[in-house]
Amino acid sequence: MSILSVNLKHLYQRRGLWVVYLLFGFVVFIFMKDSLVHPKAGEGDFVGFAVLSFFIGFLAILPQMEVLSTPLSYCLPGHRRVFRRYVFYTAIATSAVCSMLFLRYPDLYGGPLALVVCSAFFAGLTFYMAGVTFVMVGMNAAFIFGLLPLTVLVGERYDLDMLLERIIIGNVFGVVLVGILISIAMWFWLGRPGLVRRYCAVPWMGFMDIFNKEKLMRYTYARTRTVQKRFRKHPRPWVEKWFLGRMERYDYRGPGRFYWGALYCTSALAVSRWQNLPLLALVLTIMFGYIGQAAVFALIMLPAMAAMLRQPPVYSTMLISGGRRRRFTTTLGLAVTDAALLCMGTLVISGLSILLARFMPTFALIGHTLSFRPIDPRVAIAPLLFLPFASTMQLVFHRMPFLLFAALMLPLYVPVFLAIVWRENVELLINPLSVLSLLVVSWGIFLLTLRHICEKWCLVGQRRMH
Amino acid sequence: MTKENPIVRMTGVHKRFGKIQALDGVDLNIYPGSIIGLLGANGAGKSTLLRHIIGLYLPDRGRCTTFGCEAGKLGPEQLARIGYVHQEGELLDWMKAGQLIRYVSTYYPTWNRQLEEKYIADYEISTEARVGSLSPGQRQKLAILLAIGFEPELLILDEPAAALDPVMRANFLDLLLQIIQDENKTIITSSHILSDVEKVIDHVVIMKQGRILLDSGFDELRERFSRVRVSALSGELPGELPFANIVQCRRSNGEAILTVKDCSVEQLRQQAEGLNCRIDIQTLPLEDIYRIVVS
Repeated sequence: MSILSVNLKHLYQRRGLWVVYLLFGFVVFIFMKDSLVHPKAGEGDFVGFAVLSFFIGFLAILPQMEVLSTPLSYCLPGHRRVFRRYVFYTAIATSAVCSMLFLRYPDLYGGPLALVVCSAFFAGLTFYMAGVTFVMVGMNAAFIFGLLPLTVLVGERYDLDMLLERIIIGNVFGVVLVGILISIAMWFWLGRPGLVRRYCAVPWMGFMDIFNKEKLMRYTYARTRTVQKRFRKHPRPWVEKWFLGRMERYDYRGPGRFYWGALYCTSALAVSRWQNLPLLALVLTIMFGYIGQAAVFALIMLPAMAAMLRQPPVYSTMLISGGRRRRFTTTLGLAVTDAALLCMGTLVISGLSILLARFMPTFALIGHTLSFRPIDPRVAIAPLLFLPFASTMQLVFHRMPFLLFAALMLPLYVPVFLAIVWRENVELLINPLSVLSLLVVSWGIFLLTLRHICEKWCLVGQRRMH
Repeated sequence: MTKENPIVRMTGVHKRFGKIQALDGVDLNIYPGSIIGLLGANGAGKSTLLRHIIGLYLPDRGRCTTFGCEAGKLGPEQLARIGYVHQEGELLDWMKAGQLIRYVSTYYPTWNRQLEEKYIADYEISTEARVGSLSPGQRQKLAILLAIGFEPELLILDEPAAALDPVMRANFLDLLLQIIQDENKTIITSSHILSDVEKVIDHVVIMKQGRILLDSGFDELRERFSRVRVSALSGELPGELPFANIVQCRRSNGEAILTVKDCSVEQLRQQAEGLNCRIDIQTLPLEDIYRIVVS
């Protein structure tokens, strides 16, 4: 078997990627079924392939990035030559398949059709290389969690699909020229000497590593090492003093001491950077105010992601004098605190947006009018509803990041697609009774799960932590 | 050492992880004041056993009690008496070492500040360094301090010296020897560095594939095994040597080195009479005893 073949095998040997392929296939099907079944010219039906190429490039490069960043691979004879070929072979195959979609383009035949397919091929190649570059420069595949929904929403909002289709159909030679130039540039960039040395043993964030707290910390530390003064990585003395003071008010064996200790562990860094909070709130308010309904989705997603990044106290291997019962009360206390804080934060953003709505300008961008809309305060209920769900998934799939991703992402995408596909009826589903029911159910499930884990489960894994 | 009230009692403990039987019917009593060396190959079940003691794991079958309390129900009262150094355990990487020490000490009413300061000085722990930036050896030193700072009655050390250099290991042994001066302290240490372990322990538990092969006092164990060097005074050694319970035998150049089990020195000398040989009898190091027991 050749070196290239064994590297290509990673694309199906990595079982975690199967979940991604499934999810990805679902997304692609939703956006490309129209172009396959009832193609219409000029409505952007065909441009899903360009987005597809970007994400295929993104996914295909992930196994190779893991190989490159592993010190073992530095000495593998022949691997360095294969890396560039791997990228180009997969890029050409992907672009060739995706550009065939344009054979269904209506009212195009013969020579013009061939030119359009050629243009689509090079457009696909360009997007593929963009996906590869995104990962190699960013050294962080976890950006996909923000990028994918953002792409879907922004593309839908501003009809970028139609714009892209006009470019591919109407500017064939320009697209081909750009594609060729980018391919040549990538050929030299990926073949430069020192590429392997540059990536060897450099921490990088894989697709699922966002859920690996230790790796996230190591990555963050490695990336900010040279500018450590700018990024505070340990609590300020007054924060430490305040939290320890709160702890010392309670009995050594009481739940209060453990609760404040856990809150210290999870919040000290954020509190130490409190000066960033007003600016962050302002930025988020402005962003959410202009993206319209997508703000609701973002407000649902962000708290869930934040909860997932925190290791629940239940699974701490650092032994302090709290048993399973204390871990239960502490984890529950933290979840309630998180929900309350996120609700308050959402209310603050909503309140700010109401204040700013009088002053924020309306402007045009790419033929669309962007106006600032205040955020409905009722959205503040979202953390209360979704945080227990995210926390439950985190508890159950704590040591299985792939399943955690699948468990959490799939249900959260459902509201997005419902909102896009079934817009007019979504309001019917959201009423006080359904919200209250969801609240009771989600917290109830979280409580029962937490109790079961604390009473019955092993609290540490068998694998190495480091 | 009292035989009446073990502080840890494990009865018929079984634990399975998928297809792997990590503990297979383990019975073990740990008495106050004992210093136990828990030995075994990788995957023998040592860490699994230790985690049952502090309640991180719960047995599928059987029972495990620590300080008279079911391990799964251990609360702050019991856990405040246990110090634990996890094999590859996490610390709070984003804190400075000093902050982490202060944080952990807040949980323990018996935290000894003088011991903390002495340890920090002796082991050159930088309290201003971020925990995440410490080397594995420095992290291990810090983890050990967090486990002993409150002078626990039961100290559980899971591969505590694995990441320490030889000088630090020697210092750590000295520290252990100081700790064991207090007869109220019980220590369970699991380690692969048997030459270090045998200097401090008084009890040995050897595990293999989830079972306890041997549970014995260290002195009694050492008395059971002897190395006998038999040298012919003239001519060759006889083909068959008249020693009972030979476990191993190596011959070369008119000399035989035997490992003998369950034979006293007097019995060996009696058996050697009439052989026209010189015999030298030595006790076996723990590493050799371990190899014999597990093989």
